[in-house]
Amino acid sequence: MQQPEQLTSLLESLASLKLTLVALVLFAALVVLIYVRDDLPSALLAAPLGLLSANLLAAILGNRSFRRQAALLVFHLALLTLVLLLAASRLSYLKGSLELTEGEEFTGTLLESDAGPFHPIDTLRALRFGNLGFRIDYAPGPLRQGIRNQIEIRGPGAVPHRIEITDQKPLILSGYRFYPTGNKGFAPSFNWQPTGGGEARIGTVHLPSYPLHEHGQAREWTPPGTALRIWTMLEFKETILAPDRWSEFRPPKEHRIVLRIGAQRWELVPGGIVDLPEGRLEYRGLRGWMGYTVFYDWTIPWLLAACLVAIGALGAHFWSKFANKPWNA
Amino acid sequence: MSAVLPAPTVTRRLALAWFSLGLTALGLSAMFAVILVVARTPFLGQGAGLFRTALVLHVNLAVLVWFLSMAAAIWILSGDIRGNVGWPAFWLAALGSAAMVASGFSQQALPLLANYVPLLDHELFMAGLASFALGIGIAAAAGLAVWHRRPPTTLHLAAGAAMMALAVAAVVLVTGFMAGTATPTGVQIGIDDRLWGVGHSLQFVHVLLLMGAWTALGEAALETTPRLRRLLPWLILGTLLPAAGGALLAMMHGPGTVEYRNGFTELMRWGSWPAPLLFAAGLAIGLLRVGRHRRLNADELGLALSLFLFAAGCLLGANIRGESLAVPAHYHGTVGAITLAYMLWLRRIGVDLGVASDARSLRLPSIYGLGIICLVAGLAVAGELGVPRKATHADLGVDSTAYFATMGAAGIGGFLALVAVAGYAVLTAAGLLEALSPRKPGARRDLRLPAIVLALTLVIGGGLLLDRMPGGNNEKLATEAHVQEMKLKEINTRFQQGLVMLHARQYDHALTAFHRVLQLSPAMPEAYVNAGFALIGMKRFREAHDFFEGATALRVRQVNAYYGLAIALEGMHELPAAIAAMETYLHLTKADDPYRRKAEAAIWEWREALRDKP
Repeated sequence: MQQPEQLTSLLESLASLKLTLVALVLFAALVVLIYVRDDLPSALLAAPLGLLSANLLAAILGNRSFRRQAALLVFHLALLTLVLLLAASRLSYLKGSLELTEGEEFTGTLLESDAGPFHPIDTLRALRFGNLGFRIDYAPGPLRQGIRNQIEIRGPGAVPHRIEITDQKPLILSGYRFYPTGNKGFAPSFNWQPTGGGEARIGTVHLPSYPLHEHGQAREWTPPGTALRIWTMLEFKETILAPDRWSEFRPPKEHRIVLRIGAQRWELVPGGIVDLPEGRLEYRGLRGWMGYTVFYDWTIPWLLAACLVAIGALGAHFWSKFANKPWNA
Repeated sequence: MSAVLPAPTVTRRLALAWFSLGLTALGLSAMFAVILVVARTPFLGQGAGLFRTALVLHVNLAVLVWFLSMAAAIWILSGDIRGNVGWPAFWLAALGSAAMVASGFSQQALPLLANYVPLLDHELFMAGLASFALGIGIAAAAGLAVWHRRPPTTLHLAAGAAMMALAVAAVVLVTGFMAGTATPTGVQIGIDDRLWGVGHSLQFVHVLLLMGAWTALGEAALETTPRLRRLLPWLILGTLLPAAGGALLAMMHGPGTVEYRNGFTELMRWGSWPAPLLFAAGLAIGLLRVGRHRRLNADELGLALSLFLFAAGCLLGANIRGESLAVPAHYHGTVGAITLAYMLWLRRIGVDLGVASDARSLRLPSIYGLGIICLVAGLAVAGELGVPRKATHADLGVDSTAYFATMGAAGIGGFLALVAVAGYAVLTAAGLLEALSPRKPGARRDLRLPAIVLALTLVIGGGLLLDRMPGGNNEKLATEAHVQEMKLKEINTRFQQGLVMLHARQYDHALTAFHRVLQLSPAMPEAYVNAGFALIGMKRFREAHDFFEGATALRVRQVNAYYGLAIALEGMHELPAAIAAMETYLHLTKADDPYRRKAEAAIWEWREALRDKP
């Protein structure tokens, strides 16, 4: 007989409103800490959320008033689901970014990412799609209008087919949402042939975002298998995005690429070649690159469903309360 | 007279559980049908991504789970099946049904729109279907084992005949899946071929039990037609015998063969409807006689609608030409007749079993019947206009006034029927659950379990629905593309098989292959032409003529169709028309066509034959 009493006592302690307050304060403190300090993972929030879940579950199990008030019980169960889903979300979410040159394929690698400890990263690594090109119009100002990005979905398990994504309409693959962003720019393409007959490599250099860094279109990079540091700058006189009329983001019609290695300097147009002791560098032409943000959180539709159920149940509970006892009775 | 035989408590609870499963399936099928109606109705219609998955689940829940759960409940009540066999059978069927529905939410579950038993290509769906079939099979076997213990009333006879028909369907199902991967002539056997026989055999189960439902509902009408009452056992036997022929057919011929396919088609075409239609006509006369003395009650009005729907469905079935909306018009007529009869019957049985009846549900079956009549009429007229089946409004892109009027009527009828079914399912299920509850009268009710079930159902169901909401999910486009690719692959394989069979003079197998091609791609003139040549090989000139005409209607410059048409007309001894068709062929064909000289020789020969005629 002692065991059920101990269990009831434990349940009462766990259902305590004081514990609710402690969990909420802990939750708020962690939110502030994670916001202020970049090195703290948001998965830490799962701890106070778990405590809140246990607190709520104990209240549901122990409070007798729930047994005859179905709507109130449904509301609290929806609330419990909500808290558990939030905890699950912090443990399994992913946020990240990537950049793809026009014609390049996504091979599962992100530039930056922030993910929960239980995020299934292998799913992301298996995804394949190609950036076929994009168009961005600018209103006078210049003010960026909507992005229209042509994408080819290639796998896994999909028949290759093309779609268009925009700022509001992402590419969704296996629950990952890829949004095109205003972070885009120019990408000179080079062919690098190492001296001694090694394999030729084609690659692009993503210059800083345009027009954000309009006057800083330069970047330093290293050809594969060498220690060279090549400073590369895009130079053109044309106004791409005019402040007084509608225009479109596009590569300049005439441009030069300035290369510098130490004191040596070269100016190249498409097809131009630089012979170096380590190999031959050929400038192939200028393309655009697009930056994407990627977001994954499987809990979102379930969170919305739980919210709707909670709102509906609370509404039903108060409806029945007011219907039974009118305020002016 | 009672709607069923009185049953002890154990049997009563088991039967109520089966009724609850059937009602849940009916309610869920209505939910999935909402997606179908929205996608089919011109003013609402969007090519919803869920259309084909919803179609598969709607058909399986409405025609398999709802009908067969009702059948199992009736078998349990009429056979007094005990819980030690009955409950495992019930749980197998219930868990199987749940698995089938759950599989619909998987992105990998690709719909296969096979005839009679459409499927989702997913292990969970297949396992669920097998589990459900096993549960129903056990219920029928247990019922058959104790069937002889009860006095042989007409209702008992109909229930027994339906169990025997299900046993036949089980034999057909097993033989269908025991067959190898190809027919003796090398034609691949697909899942549609394997389910063809059992799909047809199940129709006999449904009509036999429909006759049972009509017997219970039309008691007053039968009182006024004593000859019909005497004839009734023979009518039941007249439906059971052709059903039994299915077992013989399955043992003699393997799935995928022409004999198998045509055999089951003919069996259903000539065996399944005459006796029920005769019974319906007799009951209609009986109802008219009853109506002369008093006003018909709600159940009798519903029965009249059920009889009308069945007759309409049979008439529309006789008028089917090709793969148009006339096909769903036909089966919504017959299926609607059964659903309506079961809705009325279930309410009557519920009263007999002590289930509280909600007065608000009294008129709902008749409202459902009127809605279905409107739907059937709309689909039938649209079928006459040549609108193809298994496609959404967005797929079709038709904008004629007649199309909008007929499909609009079908949509309104569909919505009316769905609202009535949903209301009926909720109100009746509430009564059934109350009756199943072990709570003692007067005890305060603990609402925790229902609240937990409700909260979980709403959150899980809502989450799944939001997760699979069409629009913006590019993977669904990929899935659609995959389905299309699979379809094209099968069309190509079947077409090549047909050509090989045609050249090998295996005309019946060639015809089977081209028939399948036309099911998958109804607007393919090449398949019409080759099916026509297969029919010429089988000396079925009139049918061949129709196929060649079909090909030219689809593509005016389908040159070889005119050649075939001329040969078919020659076979029909219509030489002037044959000459005209062959001249059209010569006019359209190239100068170096290898058949040109044969065509010229044929024209010369036919002209000589006409000259020689007196």
